[in-house]
Amino acid sequence: MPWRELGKSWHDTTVDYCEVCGNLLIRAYFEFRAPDGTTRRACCEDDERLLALLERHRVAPGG
Amino acid sequence: MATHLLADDAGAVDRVTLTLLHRQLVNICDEMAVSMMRTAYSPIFSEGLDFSTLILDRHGGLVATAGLNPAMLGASLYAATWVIREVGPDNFSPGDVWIHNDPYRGGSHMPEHMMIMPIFVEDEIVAYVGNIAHLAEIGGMAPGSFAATATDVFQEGLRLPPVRLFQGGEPVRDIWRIMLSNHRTPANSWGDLHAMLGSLRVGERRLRQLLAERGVAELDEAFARLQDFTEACLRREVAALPDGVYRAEDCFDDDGITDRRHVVRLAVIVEGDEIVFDYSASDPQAIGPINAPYVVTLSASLNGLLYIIGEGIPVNAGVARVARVVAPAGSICCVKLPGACVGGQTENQPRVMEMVMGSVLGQLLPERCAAASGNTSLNFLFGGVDPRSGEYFAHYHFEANGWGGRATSDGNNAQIVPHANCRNTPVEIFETRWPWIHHRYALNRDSAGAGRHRGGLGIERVLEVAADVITVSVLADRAKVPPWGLFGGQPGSLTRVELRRAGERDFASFQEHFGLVSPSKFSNVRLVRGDQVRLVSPSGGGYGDPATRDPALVAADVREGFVSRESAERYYRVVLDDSGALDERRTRELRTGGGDALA
Repeated sequence: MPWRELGKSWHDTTVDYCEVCGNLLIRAYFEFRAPDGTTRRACCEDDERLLALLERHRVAPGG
Repeated sequence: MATHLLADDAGAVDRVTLTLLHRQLVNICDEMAVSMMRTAYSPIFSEGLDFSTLILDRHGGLVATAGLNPAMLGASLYAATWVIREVGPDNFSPGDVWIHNDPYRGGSHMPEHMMIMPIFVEDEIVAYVGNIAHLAEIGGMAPGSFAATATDVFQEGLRLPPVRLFQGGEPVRDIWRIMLSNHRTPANSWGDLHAMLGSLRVGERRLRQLLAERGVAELDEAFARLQDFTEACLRREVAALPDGVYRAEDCFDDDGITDRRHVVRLAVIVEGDEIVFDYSASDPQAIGPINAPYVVTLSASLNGLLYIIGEGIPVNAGVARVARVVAPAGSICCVKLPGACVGGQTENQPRVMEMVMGSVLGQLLPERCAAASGNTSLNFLFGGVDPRSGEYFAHYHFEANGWGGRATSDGNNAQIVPHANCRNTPVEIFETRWPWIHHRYALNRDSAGAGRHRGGLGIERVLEVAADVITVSVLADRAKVPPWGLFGGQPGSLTRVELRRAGERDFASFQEHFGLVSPSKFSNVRLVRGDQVRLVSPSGGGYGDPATRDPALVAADVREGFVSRESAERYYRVVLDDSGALDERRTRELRTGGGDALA
């Protein structure tokens, strides 16, 4: 999956957040398809792996 | 520090050189800090040391920092990178200085302003020098710019996205005029901003000397290797922790707007040489200003980790490669625009950091952790016209409290919360700079959480208004839920913020006087000459069962006035005779269940 530009105009001062970790998205985001089929906008490519790690521990016994 | 560096293979730049370069870079940051401290106008710089100084690589990645305010670590790691990415490196020119304070662009909260300056060699940016500092007044709904009842970021002061404060070495006057017009004490801002600028110029000069000695290529490589080295060291320490998921939670009394606790829930996942701090189960963001921007939660997590397993590891961008923080936007640990968040840095961060250090990593490394400190910055803000000068003044004061007992020693007395390393403002400075008279400034006896190692003591400060009117605000916490003890240690004591009106006999809480929602969070109360404020800061929790404390230490505590004889018997099961000497027989009886303690 690719990196995409946020494409904000200079007068747009709103903020976008990583849909995996909450970090800010600046100018561009990494887009990937999550295991649940949704498309996620992430701050870095490693977040695809991070999401898998989180899911693994959240569904694990005691997770 | 050197032990770590010399013990590892440092690659093409040899190990000794790398160690020396690291020390030189940190020394530059230290010199930048001294410059800032000595030239600032505001005591929050010169006395409080509420700032950080930074050297960054050509991409904005942190290379070195002075060991001043770790609470700014998250911003130090990310804010410059984001500024450079947002405005584009092509928009930096020699002599430019960029400034921003936006908590929605990597800042921790709006009073903290970041400046960065590019270092060019010929036409190429080879590094940046930067700093972050807390300006005492930046406008907004309350003097001191710390409105405890703010419900959005627009009430918290003037928000600056990244803008040039200097261009080609010349001040960008339009920006200066906007800033100074919105600050209540523009002369102080002028001085403090120039102190920041001077610090950058010191850093630039020293870094150029280093570049002249070593060359761009060697320094470039050293920057990268230092970051790699930190990553490798931290991975090794994390890998030594047992894999698993470790959980904890803590709360805030209220958010200043609603009388409801707000809970932070943390799951720490350790897997191999990676560690993830997951705050996904935390409460939604509050209406009031106790929310943390992402970088604040990042600071809390990383500092908690570094304090426990990071001793001697250089602090730089390598840290963030090992530890990931997950805090969904819209939660109390990652506020979403336009949520209020000025208190996130001073209340949320210490709460989360000590949760990481004590409740989570304490499970794994009890010999390294500590019970909770008073864990509030007890921010006390005020402003008015000083009758001695006729000029408007405003100040942001943070109060010392007691630290938690730890495995090897008692908690420190009367010290600023551990997340920020800041210093207390002396009474003499206080009374010289602002129209207050001190009646009392003392350690608060019998307040510390009892333990094998007791908590540190908080303080009691009584101040009298010496002007016609002073407007005060307070943003604190731990007025309802005390700091926790560990391993059988007792909890610490609570925050109290009280008022005695001129001519009245007794103190009562501000909450009782004015019918406030919160006992520890309010904005813009007008006090008049002769009114007295009493600030009682919380004491730290104890570590270990108090009945196992060395009786000689308890006797010493009584002699020093930290603990009363009654408390010595009740909590520590230690009996002293009338001269204050230890009564060993009765103490032994009491501790073995054969005697009676005081009721």
